[in-house]
Amino acid sequence: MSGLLWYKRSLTLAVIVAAALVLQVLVSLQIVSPYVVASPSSALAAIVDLIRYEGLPVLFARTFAMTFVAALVAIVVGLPLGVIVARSELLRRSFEGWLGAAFSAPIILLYPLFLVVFGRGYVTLVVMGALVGVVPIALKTIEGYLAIPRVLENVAVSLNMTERQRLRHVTVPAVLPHIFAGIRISLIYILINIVAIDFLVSIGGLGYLVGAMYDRYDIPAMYGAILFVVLTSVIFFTILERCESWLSKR
Amino acid sequence: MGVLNVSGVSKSFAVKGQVVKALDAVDLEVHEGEFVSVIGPSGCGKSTLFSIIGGLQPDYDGRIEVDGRPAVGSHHDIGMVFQEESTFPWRTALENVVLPLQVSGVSKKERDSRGRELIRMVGLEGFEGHYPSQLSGGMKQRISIARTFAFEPRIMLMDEPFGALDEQTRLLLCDKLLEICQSMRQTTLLITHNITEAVQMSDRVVIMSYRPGRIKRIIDIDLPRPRTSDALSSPEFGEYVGEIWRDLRTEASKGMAAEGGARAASGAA
Repeated sequence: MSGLLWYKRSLTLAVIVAAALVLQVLVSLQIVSPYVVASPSSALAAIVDLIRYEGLPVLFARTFAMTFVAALVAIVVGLPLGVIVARSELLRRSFEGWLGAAFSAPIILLYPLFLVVFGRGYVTLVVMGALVGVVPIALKTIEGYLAIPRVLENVAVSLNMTERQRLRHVTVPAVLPHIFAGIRISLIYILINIVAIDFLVSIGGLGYLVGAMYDRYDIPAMYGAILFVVLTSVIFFTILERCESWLSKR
Repeated sequence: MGVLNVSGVSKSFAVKGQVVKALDAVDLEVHEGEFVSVIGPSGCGKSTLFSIIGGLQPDYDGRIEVDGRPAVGSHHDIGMVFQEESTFPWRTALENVVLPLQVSGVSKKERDSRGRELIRMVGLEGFEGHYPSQLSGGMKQRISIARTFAFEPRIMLMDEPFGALDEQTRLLLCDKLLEICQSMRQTTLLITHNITEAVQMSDRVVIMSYRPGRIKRIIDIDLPRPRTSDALSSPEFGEYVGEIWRDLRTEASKGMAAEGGARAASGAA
């Protein structure tokens, strides 16, 4: 690990630990009510019970798997969609506005309709997650495609690159950061949707667990479950970071 | 016959429903090892000529020939240096320079060794691992020039490569480029709007008229070689600059009047 990376990671960890300590003190002194925010120590202690009695590992694995599958579907659909729309001026003019509108539409409110169509199960969560995930990936792919500097394309022509070489040396590296930005936004939306719908209709993931603990008014356990939602997000973002770094070196 | 022949090249564009003739029957011959500059006022079609010769503009009238054979599209004997910043931001300086070799399938070991040699040639030794974002404008342009040399083109085609640089950097880079071109006897066609740059570098300066771009006059520059920017202070250099400016002034005035007229018309509309 390089010195700078080690320094950055240590700093991140130090900030998290410091924030947890401050929160611990505030809650212990009852400056922040323990009935509203659980102290970090009580939330961590509650995780043990969540693992022992509530099946936390299985629920975490389900949410993780649903988010992964939804993200995969969003990438498989969103990426080609973005490329197709970006390459055709007619399609771009016709659909870019609609895609932008879809990005800001509260698709989550359609969950009763999806429950009727796909049933009360994991498929509904995956489909709804993928649906909200497609749009940012497609939009960012379009943005990246259109942002390729004309001069770099001219350099490719002047070097007599074949279509495949141009794709490898110019198009993909130029668009890649935009695509990953789209996937990051997409992941946030997917996770929010999957956890939120699960919270509302109790299908059987972390959303269900947060909702169940909330209903029981077990505040430390609820925050313990939320910590695992955050952990899901952290794992995905770390994987994405590694993928981007690996791909950009190809 | 020259290594590069431009015969009767004309090009028109449709602008707001009107046909604008950018180039009109341009004839030009560049010989092996010669340095030729094309100079003209803004809007005379210099960059259009650059695009046509480089194969970026497929739709035109006339012929471009390299060694007597028609050149259609981009040609492996023509290397291009662009006015805009054209380094690949995700590649290091060395990776940028060796790109043409990578595309041609040269082994990594060989291309790295050749790349380092070219980087040393443009005076950027020690910056091999730097990304373009860590380099100045002049350094980036030197990387672009080194990349084109890696291509080993018979004809180097340059479109105002120092246009975006400050005067001091431009003079130093002109010296560097001149030194390289002279030592390699590199055939070069430079598109520029800078008179001193054209006189300093060239064997011949081609003056173009304002739109439609035609060749107005060709001046042989009979200054001793090797040349550097020191030549700028010689009386002969000043005479050439004055001679070119006398021709160019008329054309630049026409361009300025035409642009002023067009602005007034669009303002009135």
